Amino acid sequence: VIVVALGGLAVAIAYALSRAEAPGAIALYWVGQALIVVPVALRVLSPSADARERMALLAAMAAVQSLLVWCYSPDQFRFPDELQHVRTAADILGTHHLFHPNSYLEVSPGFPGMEEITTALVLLTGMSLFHAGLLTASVVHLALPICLFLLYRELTNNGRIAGIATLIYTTAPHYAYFNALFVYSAVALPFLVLALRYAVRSYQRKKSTLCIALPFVPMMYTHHLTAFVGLAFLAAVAIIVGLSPGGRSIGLRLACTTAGLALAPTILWTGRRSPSTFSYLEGPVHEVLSSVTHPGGSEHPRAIASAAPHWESLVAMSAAGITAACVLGGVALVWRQEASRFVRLVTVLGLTYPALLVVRIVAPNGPELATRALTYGMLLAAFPAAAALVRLWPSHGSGVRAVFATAIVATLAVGAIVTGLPPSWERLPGRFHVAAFESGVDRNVTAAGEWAQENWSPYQRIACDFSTCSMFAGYARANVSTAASPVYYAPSMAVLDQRLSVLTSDYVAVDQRWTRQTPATGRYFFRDVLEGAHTRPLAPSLLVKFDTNPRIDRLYDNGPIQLYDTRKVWGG
Amino acid sequence: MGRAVCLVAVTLATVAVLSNAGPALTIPLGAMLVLVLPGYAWLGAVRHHEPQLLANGALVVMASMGLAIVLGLELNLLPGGLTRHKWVAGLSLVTVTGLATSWMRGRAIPGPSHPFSTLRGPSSATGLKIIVVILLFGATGSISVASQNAWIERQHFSELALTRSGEVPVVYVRNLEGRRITYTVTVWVGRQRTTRFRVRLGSGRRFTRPLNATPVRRSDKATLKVTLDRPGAPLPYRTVFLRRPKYA
Repeated sequence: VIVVALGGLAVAIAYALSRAEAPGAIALYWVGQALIVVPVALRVLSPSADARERMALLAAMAAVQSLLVWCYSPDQFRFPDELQHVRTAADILGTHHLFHPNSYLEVSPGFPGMEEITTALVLLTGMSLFHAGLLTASVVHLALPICLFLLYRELTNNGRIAGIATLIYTTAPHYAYFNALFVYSAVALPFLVLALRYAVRSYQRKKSTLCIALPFVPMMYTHHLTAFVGLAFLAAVAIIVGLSPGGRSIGLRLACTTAGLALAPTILWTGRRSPSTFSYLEGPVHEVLSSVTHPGGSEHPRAIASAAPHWESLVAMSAAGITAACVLGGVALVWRQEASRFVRLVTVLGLTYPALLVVRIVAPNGPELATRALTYGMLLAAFPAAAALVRLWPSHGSGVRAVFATAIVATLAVGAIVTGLPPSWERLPGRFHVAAFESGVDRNVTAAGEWAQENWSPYQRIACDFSTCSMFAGYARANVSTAASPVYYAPSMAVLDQRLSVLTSDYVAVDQRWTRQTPATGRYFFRDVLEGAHTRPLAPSLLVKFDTNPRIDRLYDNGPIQLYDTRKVWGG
Repeated sequence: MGRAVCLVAVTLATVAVLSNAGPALTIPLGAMLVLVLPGYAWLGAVRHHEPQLLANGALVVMASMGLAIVLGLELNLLPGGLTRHKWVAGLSLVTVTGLATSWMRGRAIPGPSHPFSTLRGPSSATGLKIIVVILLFGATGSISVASQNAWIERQHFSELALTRSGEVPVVYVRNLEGRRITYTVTVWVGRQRTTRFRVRLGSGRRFTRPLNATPVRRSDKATLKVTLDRPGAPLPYRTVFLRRPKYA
C-alpha cells in the first residue's frame, strides 16, 4: 500500500512539473502509474494473498486514483460532465427542490441521486459544493472495487478469482479517471454491482430475490443508463438461473422481482420525470444498430488526427487483443472445467467484450461508444478473463508465469490509460487548449465565468465554445446554446444578424485564442457544423464582426475572452 | 461501534449541525450523518454482515447513500423542500428507526448486532503503515495544491466590464496581475473623451464606479466606450462599449 501511495506521489509530482513546464513530467507520470498498478497486480494475482489483502490493495488503488483526480484539478471542477452536475446541484441548493430544468444536461435533474447526497453534505457540513462533490465521488470510487469483489466472490466462492476479476475490471478505460469524477454514472455503478450480487446470491445461497430492489431503487434515481443496463443484466441472470439445476422457481421469482420492482418503476420514473431520456439514449443506440446492419453506411465527422504517440495506439490495440483472448480462453476453460451450469452460463456473458470490440471498429463513433460501454461490459468480461489468468498462474506456478500474468495486467492497465481519459494531449495538466476538457479551463475562462455568475441572473441564453460554456452553464447557471456555431461562422454582418435572430441568444462569448489554436477535440462548439474540418485556426475576421456590428455591445474583456450582449440584434 | 455509540453519534451530529458548531465538528459529524450512520443502523437491523471490515464499510456507505437518495425524494415533497433542518431531522429519524429495529430484532435473533461487531484494532505495524500512507497522501495533496496555485498565479491579466445599475452604466475593473497596478480608465462618448481617472488596485482587488456619461454635442445615441490601460501594455489594454445606450 505504501508503494501504491508513493506511485500517487510520483504522479502528483509529474503534474506539478507539467504545470511548471519542467522536463521529465511524462516519464515520471508513467513511473508513478507503474508503482500504482504493478504491486497491486502482483499481490492480487498471487496465490498466496488472502481476501482481506486483495480487498485492501484494490481499495488502496482506488483511493490513490481518486486522490489523483483531485490532484489534476485541486481547486474546482473543470471536466464538462462534472459541471453539468454542478449546475443541477446548484439549482437544488438555490431552490431547495429537485427537478429544476437544466439546459446543459436536460436529463440530469430527473436523476438527482448524486446531487441529493452532495447537497446534503453541503448543507450539513458547510463544505463547498466542490469539496462535497469530491467527497461523494471519492467515497463511491473507493466502494466500487469492494462491491465488485463481493459480486465475483458470490459468483465463484473463490477469493483469488474474485480479486483478479476486480483487478481486470479496473482496466476498463473509464475506471481510473472518468468513473472517479463527479458524474452520476459513477455513483450508480456500485448500486448496479450490488443488485447483481443479490441476484447471484438468490440462486447461490437461496436468499430472497426481493433484495435486488434495495440497491436498484437508488440506482434508478441516480443514472438512467446504469438502470437500463441493470435491467438487462438482471434479466440475463434470471434466464441463466432458470436454466440452471434447481433454479426454475428462483429464476421465475427473480424475473418477477425484476419486472415488478425494477423494470416497471424505472419505466414509470423515467417516463414521468425525464421523458427526454429515451430520445437522449436513442441516438447512440441507433448509431450502433445502423452501423452494424449497414457497415460503412453512415457518415460521421472526421476526427482530427490523434496527437497520441504511435506506441500508445499499439498498446491500446494489444490490450484489446489480450483482453479478448483472455475472455475467449476463459469462457472455453470454464465451460470445460466448471461443474456449475450457472457459473458456465454466466461466463458466456463475457462474450459481450468481443461484441463491443466489433462496435468499436464498425460504428462511426465507435471508440467513444465502446469505451463508455466497457464500463458495463467489463463487469461481464472480467470473470472469464480472471479464470484465464488463474490458469496462467496456478497455485504451483513458476516465477516466469507470475511475471507473464503481471505483465498482461500491466499492459491492460496501460491500454486503459491511453484509451481512457484524460486524452494524451491533456494527460498532464498545465497547458491550455481551446475548446477542450479540463485543459480548456484556465484562469481567463474561470474569471469570465465568475463575472457572469456575479452579474447575470440565471438562465441567460449564451453562445459559447466547448470550454467556456461549461463555466457559464455550471457556475453562472446560464442556458448554453448547442446550435451556436453558425453564428461564429457567419461570413457577413447581415448573415450574423439573421443567425442571431434565429438563435435569440442574449450573450455571445468569444475567445481570441480560437484564432491561434485548432481544437484538439475536433470542434470549437457544441454540434459544431465544421466538426473535424478545423485544420487551421479560425480567421480573425470571423471574430472582428462582433466588434463592428452596430447593435452589439461588448460588456466584458479580460484579454483573450470578450462577452457581447446581442439582444438588440433580435429585439430581446 | 455498537448501537449506543451510534445513537450518541447521531445525537452529537444533530446538535453540532443544528448549532453550527464550526467546521472542525460539523464536517466529520455531518459527513457521518449522511454517509455512515443510516447505513450502519439499517445493516445492523437486517443482520447483514460480511467477514471483512472493508466489505462492511463499503456496504455501510452504499446503504447510507441509498437511504439518503430515497429520503431526499421524500423531503422534496415537503413544503420548503431540501433544507438543512429537514435533512438533519430525516437522517436522524432514519438512523434511530434503524437502531430501534436492530434492538427489537436483536432480542429475537441472536448474533452480531452491528456491521463492525468483529472489528479489532490494527496491529502496531499496520498502524505505522497507515500513518505513512496518510503522510504520503498529505504530501501528494500539498504538492498539487501548491503547484496549482503557482500555475494560477502565473496567469496574469486584468478584467474590464460594463454593467448597469438601473440606467446608469457602471465600470468594473479587477486586478489579477499578481501585483499592485495603477490603471488609467478613459470614458468616451462617441469620439469625445469625457472622463479619465486613475485607479490603484492591489492584486486580486476589484473596483466599480458609476459613470455619469452624458453625451457631449452629439445625439444621445453615441457609443459609450471605456478603455483600460496599464503601464507596459499596448494601448488600449482592454475595451468595452455600449452602443446607443440610454444615458443618465
